[in-house]
Amino acid sequence: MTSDATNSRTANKIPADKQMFLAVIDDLKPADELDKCATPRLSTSGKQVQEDPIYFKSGANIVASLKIDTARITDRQLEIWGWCAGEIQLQLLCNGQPLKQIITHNLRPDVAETLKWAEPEKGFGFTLKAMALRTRRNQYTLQIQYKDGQKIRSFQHPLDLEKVVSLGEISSGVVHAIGHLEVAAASHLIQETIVVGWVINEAYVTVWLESENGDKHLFNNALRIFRQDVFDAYAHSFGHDAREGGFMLLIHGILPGEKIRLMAMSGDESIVLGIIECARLEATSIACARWLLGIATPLSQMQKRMPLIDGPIIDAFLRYEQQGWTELSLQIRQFGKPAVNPYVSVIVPLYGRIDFVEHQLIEFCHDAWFIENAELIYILDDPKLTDIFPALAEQLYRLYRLSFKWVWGGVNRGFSGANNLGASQATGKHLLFLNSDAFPQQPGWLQQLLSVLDDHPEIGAVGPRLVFADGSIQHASMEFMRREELGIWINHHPCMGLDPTLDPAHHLTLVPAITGACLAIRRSDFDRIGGWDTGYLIGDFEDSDLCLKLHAEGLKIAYLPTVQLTHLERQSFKLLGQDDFRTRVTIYNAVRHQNRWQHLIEGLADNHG
Amino acid sequence: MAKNISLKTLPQKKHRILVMAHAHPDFSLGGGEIAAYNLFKAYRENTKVEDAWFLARADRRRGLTGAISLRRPNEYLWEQGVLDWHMMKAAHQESLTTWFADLIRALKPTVVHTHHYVHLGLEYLRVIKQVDPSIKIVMTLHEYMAICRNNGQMIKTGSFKLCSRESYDECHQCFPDKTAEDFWLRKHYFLSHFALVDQFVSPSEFLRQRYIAWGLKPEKVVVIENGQADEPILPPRPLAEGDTRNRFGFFGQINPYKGLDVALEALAQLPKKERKKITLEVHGANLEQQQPEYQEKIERLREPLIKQGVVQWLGPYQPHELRQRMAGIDWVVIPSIWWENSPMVIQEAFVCGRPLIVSDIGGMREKVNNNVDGLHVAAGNIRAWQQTLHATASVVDTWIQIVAGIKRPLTYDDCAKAHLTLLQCGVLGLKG
Repeated sequence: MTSDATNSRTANKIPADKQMFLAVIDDLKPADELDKCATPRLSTSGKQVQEDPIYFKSGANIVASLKIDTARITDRQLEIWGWCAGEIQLQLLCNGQPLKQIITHNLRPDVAETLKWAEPEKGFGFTLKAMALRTRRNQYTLQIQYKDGQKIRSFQHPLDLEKVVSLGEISSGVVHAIGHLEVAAASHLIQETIVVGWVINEAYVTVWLESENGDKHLFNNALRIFRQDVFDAYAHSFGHDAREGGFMLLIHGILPGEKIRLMAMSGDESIVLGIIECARLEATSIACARWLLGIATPLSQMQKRMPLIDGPIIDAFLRYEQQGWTELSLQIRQFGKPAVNPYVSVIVPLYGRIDFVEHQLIEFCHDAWFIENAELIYILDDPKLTDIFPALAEQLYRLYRLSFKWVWGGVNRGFSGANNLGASQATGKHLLFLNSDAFPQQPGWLQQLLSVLDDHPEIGAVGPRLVFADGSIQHASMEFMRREELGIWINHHPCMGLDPTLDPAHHLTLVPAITGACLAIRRSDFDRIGGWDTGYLIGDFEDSDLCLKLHAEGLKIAYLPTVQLTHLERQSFKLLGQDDFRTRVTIYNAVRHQNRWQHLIEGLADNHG
Repeated sequence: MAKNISLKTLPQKKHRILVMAHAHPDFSLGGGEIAAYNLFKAYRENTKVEDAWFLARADRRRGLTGAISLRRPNEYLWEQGVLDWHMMKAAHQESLTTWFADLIRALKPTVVHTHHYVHLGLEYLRVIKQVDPSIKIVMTLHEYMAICRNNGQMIKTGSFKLCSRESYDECHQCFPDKTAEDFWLRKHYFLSHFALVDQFVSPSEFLRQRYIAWGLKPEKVVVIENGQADEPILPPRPLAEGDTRNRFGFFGQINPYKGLDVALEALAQLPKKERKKITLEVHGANLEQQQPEYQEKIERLREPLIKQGVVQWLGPYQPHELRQRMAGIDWVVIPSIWWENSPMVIQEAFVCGRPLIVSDIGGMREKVNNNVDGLHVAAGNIRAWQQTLHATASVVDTWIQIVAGIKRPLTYDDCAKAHLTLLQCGVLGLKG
C-alpha cells in the first residue's frame, strides 16, 4: 500500500505546465499582510482562474484547486459556475463587502479524472449566486481562502463578468429563461453548422438562435438532452422545465468567425441569453467525425442524435471529399499481359499491410483456372504504401510470374471507394471483391464460386466460408441482430469460432447477407445497384448494404460453404457498448444502415431468425 | 528406423546434382554444412553421377550483395542472407531471379539437393521450379527451424522448457510481439515453399516425426543418417593398473541448450573424494559468444573444478584434431537440454569406438541405444547425471560391455548411395 501513498503524493505534485500559475500564488503575501493592501489581487489580468485552473500548494503539494467556468451578471443576479477541490472557502464581494450568496454543488467526474482526486459526495462542481446591486460602477470580486498547513491564506480575484440579460424577477424566485452556448462550429466547405449548449425556458417564452445577418433558427429540430449539471443548478428555479436543458442543433449558412446569439422573447422584449463565436470544424470527414462523435451524449441516445446532427455534417464532408476523387489522375502498373475479356476480375484493396500480397500470389499462381480466367487488380488505398508497394510488386512479379495490375487512385478512399475504383478498372464479366488477408485453400475455388452466379440467375451475390488462422469459422454468412440497448441492428456472424464441421450449412444456402471480405457479383448487377455505398465511416456495414441493395432489386444472397478461404481478420476483443470512438462509429454506421433499409432488415431478420 | 529403400536397379541417365547449403565449411564448421559438403564430394566421386556442384551461402564481409562467385571448380558462394527471420525471406531479392536463376540455367541440374533455407530464405525453391519444373528438389532437414521460431530449438523462450509442437497461440506466447495470425502467415509461407520440395531427408526419425506432426506428408520424408569418414576405430585409452574408465569428453558448442552446466553442476555436487576420481575434458567452442549471465554461470561452476583437476578445459578443435582428442577419453557426454536432431558427435564417437552418455530425449535417445552402445540419463537432471558419471567412472566392465555394442556408422559413400537410391526409387521416381 506504500506505493499507493506514493502515487497519491505524486499526483499532488505540481505538473510542469502548471508551474507558472503557482509562481503567481507564491508571490502572494500571507493573509495578514494582504489585509494591509488596498485591493489585494490574485493577478492583474484576472484571467487565470477564469481561463485555466489555479493550483494552491502547501510545501511541495497541491492542496487545493479552483476553476471558474462561467462568471456572469444579469440585471438582477451574479452567477458563478466552476469547480473547486480541497479546502476552499468562496465569498462573493461587492465593493469589498460580502454579498448574501447561495452555493450549490454538483458532481464533476471530468475534474476528478483530471486531478486524479477522489470526488467528495457533494461534488467538485459549484454554482454560486448572489443578488446583484442595482447601483452602477460596482466592483465584484471573489474572495478565496484556503488552508496552507495551520495558516489560512486569503486573497481576492476581481471577476471578469460576462454581462447578460435575464428575464423576470429574481426576488420573486421565478426566472423565465436562461441558457448558455458552449460550442458552435462551421466550415467554409459545407453548409452545416453545429451549435451545442443548454437553454431552459418556461413555455410562454420563445427561444431561438440568431446569426449575424438576423436569420432565426428555432429549436424545433434540435436534439434535446438531459444535462445533469444544468438540472442540478436550475431544477429549484425551473422544476420540470430544467429536465432536457441540453441541446444540439444544426443550422445553415454560417461561416467560422461569425457570432451566434441565443435569444429569448417574452412579451415584446427580446433578450440575449448567450453569445458565441463560431469555430472552424475539422476539415476532413474522419477528423470531423472524431470530433463530433466525441461530443458526449449517452450511448443509448446516439441513434436519435446521429441522423439529426452528426449524419448531415459527415455526409456533407464525404460528398465534398468524394467530388475531389474524380479530379485525381490514376497511376496504373500492369504486369504481364493485360487480360482480354476475362471471366472475372478479382479486386483487392490494400491498406496498411502489404506482406499479405505474396501469400495471395502463392495461392493464385498454382491455380490453372485462375490464371486462365481471372484478371487480378490490387487497389492501393494508402498513401503510405505508394513508395514501398511498387517495388515489392516488381519483386513479386519476378518470382510468381502471375499477370496482375495495381492501381493507385491518389488518395485513401476507404473500403467502398477502393472497391469502386477497382470495379472501374475491371473488365471481367463478374467481379470478385477480396480482402488482402484472405487466402484460398484450394485451386478452383473461384470457379466454384462463380458457377453459382452462372447457374442461379436469382442469386445476386455469393460468398464462401472463411476461417481464422486456427481453422475455426470466421464467416459463414451474416445475419441482422437487434441491439436494443443501443437502438440499432448490427451485422452478426453466426457460428463464428466454431469448428467448420459444426456449420449447419453444407451446401449452397440463401442467407440475409455475406461479408465483403470475399464476395462475387455479376458486373451488370453491380452497375445497376450503383456499386458500393461510400457513406459509411471507416469500413463497416458496406457489405450488408450492398447485399440489401441486391435484395431490394429482388435478388438473393447465397453462402457457399464448400469453398473455404483462410481469413486473417483479427478478432476484435473490444465489446460493442464500451463508450469509445470505435463503438460510436459502429453506432453511426448502424444507424445510417438501418435508416436506409429498415423494412428489409426487419423482414430478413424475421425470415432467417 | 530408416525407411527401407528397395535397391531395384533401373536403366537411368546420370544425375547432375547441385548441393546447396547455408554455409561453406571453409568458413563455418556447423554439422549441417559439413554433412552437405561431404555428401557433395561423395556425389562427385560416385560413378552414377554425371557431375555435382556445391553452392553455399557465404558472408564475404562486404554486405549482402547477392553475388554468386566461384570458390573453386564446382564450388560456388552466394552472398545471400536473411533479415526477416520470422518469414525466412531472402534479403537480396533481385539476385534470386537473376544470378541464381542464371546459375540454375547454366548448370542444368536434374536434382538440387539442398541442406537448408536458413540464411538463404525460402524463395530459391520457387525459382528453381520456375527455371525448370522438371528439376527435383531434395531437402535435408537439420533442425526444427520451420516449426519453431526460437532458432528451431523447440524450447520455450525464457524458461528453457521443452516444447513438443507448434501452435499459433503458444508461439505467440513465446514471441509476444508476433500475433497468432503472424504465426499462421509464417507457417503458410513455409508450407507453401516446402510443397515445392519433392523429397525431404531427415537424419533422424525423431525429427521426421516432428515435421510430419507439423504438416509434411509422411511419404515425403525419409530418414538417412549423415555419412562419416571411413576410418578405423581408435584403440582404447591405455589404463594403468587400478585405473577405471573415468575420463569423459564434452565436444562442440557451448550454449545454454547444450547442457554443459548440467554436467558441471553434477560434478560439483559430488562428494570431493568421489569427484576427484573423475575427469571431464571440455572441448568446447564459442562460450565467449554467449550471454554474460551464462558465461558467468559456467565460469562460477568450472573454476573450482579446474583447480581440483576434475575439469580440464581444452577449448575448441578443428575437424582433423577430433580423433586425437577422442583418443584420450573413455566416454563422450551429451548433456543437451534440447531435443537435438542427430548430433554429429554421436556418429563421430562411434567411428572412434567411443561410447556415449546422453540425455534421454529426441535425437540423442534415438541415436544412442541405452545399455547397448551408450547410456541414457534424464535430461537436465543433475542428480541423475551425478549418479551415472559416478557409477560409470567407478568400474571398467560397463565400458567394455558397451563398447562391444557399437556399430560402424554410415560412411560418406554409403550416405551418397542411399540418396542415389532414393532418387531412383523414392517418390521422385527418376527412372531416366
